[in-house]
Amino acid sequence: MMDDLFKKALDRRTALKLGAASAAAIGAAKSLGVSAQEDGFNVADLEISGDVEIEYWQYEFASKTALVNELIPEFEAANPGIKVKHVNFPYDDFRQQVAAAVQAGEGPDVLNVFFGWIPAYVQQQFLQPLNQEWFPHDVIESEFFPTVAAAKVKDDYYALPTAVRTLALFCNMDLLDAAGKEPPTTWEELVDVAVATTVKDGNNFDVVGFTWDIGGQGHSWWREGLVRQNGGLPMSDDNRTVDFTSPEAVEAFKYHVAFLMEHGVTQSGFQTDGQTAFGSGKAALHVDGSFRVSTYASNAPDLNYKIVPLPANKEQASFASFWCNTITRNAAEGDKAIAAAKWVDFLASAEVMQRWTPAVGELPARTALAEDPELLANDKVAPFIESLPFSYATFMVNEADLRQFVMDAYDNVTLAGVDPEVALQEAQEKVQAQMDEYWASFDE
Amino acid sequence: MHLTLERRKWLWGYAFIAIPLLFFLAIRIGPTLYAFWVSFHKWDPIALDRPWIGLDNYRELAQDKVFWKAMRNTWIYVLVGVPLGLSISLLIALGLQRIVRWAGFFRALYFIPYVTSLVAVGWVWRWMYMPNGLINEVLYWFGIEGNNWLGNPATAIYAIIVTTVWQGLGFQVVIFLAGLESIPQDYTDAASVDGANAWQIFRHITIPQLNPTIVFLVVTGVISNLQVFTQVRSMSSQGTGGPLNSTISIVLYVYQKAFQSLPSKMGYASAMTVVLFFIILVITVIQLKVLQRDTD
Repeated sequence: MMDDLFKKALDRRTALKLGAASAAAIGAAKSLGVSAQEDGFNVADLEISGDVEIEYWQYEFASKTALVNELIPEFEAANPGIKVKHVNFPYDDFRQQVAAAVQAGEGPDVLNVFFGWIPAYVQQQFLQPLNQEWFPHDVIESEFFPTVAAAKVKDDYYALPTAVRTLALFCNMDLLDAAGKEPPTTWEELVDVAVATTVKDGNNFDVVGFTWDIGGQGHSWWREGLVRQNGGLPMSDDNRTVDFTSPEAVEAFKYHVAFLMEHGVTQSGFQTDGQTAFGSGKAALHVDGSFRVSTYASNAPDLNYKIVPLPANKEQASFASFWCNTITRNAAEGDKAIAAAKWVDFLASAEVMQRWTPAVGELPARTALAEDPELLANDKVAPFIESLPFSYATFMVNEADLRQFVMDAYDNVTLAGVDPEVALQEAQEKVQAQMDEYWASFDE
Repeated sequence: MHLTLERRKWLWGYAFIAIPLLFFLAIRIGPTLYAFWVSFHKWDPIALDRPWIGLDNYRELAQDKVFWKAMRNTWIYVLVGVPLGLSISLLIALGLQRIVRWAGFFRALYFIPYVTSLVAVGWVWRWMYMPNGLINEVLYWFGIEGNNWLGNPATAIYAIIVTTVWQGLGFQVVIFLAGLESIPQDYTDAASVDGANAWQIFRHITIPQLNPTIVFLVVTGVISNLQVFTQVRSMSSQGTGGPLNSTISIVLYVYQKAFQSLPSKMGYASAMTVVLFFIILVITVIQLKVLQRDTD
């Protein structure tokens, strides 16, 4: 078995030398010291028996669709006989579009999907596990950041990301300088800077020291950032047990709620939401994802801000999320399965990642690229990349409900005067019930 | 075969209504019946099997606190929104009827919100309602403490109703104006000759004569408020019908369960639409019976 794999890898290298892959691709990869074609996956030497077309679906996001349109001809040139049809639709229609197409017996062969939807799609038997011989687990685990674990259900990986995103702290430097403060690095400093930068007249805020946006990134920041930083674990390692009520989790929750309830540095709904408040220069500090950098680059080009890793407590932790490429049951076998695997492999290659980050603003998913000097030279990208080794993507069986339950816990405490322990207990029970139902469906 | 002129007319008539009828059957009636069918299943469009579960979805509905909250909210949208909208628009229509100069301009002014995108209106109002928005700013000039109108569970639903009423005014005003102008001048003249004052004329002539108009506006108003969705989706915090489900409507909850939730609970959502369908049916029949009185 190992010998076979080794032989395959050797064959593949020979094939490469014969010019099966474009010279440009090799050049780009070599300059990085990692070659996409020479990664540990055993996909490149798989052969199709005839011409095949696969459908690739992803939502409309100008920079992503443009880059993929550019990549398709390169992929097709390197893989004669395979055609990729690129289908786009608005993000808001994502789940409807997929559901409608699948119900009509159509739909994608390869789907670009949000990681949090993978468990549900797996339960529906919509996705194919990545073939372990083609995509060995030890290779995935050694070459990608640990956050890729969120694409694993039970014993199989179902997707590979091209890029990931993490959360970090956005600091408005004009407001911080005016208050004589540096970007905070600890929980205490975060409170201190938020208090110092808040500007208000009675109860009317001109500037909030810190944004309050639970439905935006706040719920994820608490779950995977604050709780872990405080030494807690929001979910057991086997992804079966939720823990929102550990002393660490409750304390982290109270720390967060205090910004609104005690420190008087923020307001719910200020400038409608957190990212707008920060973008309009009316918020000093704001927790958000790497994707926001490109929003501000186009919407608030004059905003003078700096990004630093999330302020830490006992430990450091951040939330990671990613869109990734999965193979659906439409490409379960034959040439389609092979073509789909090649396409997924290509999109997760170092060379594509290296082009993806500057074009789209998302972070590379391969560890080897984290030290890329070119990427680290960008001070708007570097703090997010530095956060990757300690960033976690939550295993979610129902993404929308998980968010809703955590939002309700915050609203119950801040608007209805419910005790934090009670509110978190309720949220935990609801999430756990869905979790139990989810795993029970596999055990049946 | 020779057809008489009468027969040919008759055939043409049916041929012409056949197309809209087919369209109506395929686009309206068909999906409605299909939703009934779906509601008896555990229906996830992506899953391979969609088992028949009888009335289980309806049983789950009976236990679902969020559904009952949505039901209660939906009735608030109807019972506050419809009377408020009708009385304000009738007042405006009575005023506009008296205006001679610039009449067209004023009518257009009131009609503009109605033809503006619901989402755009929702967002503009969100900006006015936010804690540091225009409304609180104005209150502040008068020394009144502001409120987070959409972020406070006690006020959020009424804040949305105000927007819905404001937006619907134009349509209702135009219909009322048409109704008012169809009241024969002789009636009011005769009444004033008999010594009736303005209130008596309004009470005993205008209102009864407007009855068909009012029936129409109540029926359409109730139906559109029972189906309120876009305003809640674009104005409530994160579009979820919050805070704490204080603004969620039945249709928004249907949308969340069918299209936002993954796995999709299409069967459950269909059960809700079936319940809503029967509510609308019953209400409409009652309204037509009660309000449609003879005005002669």
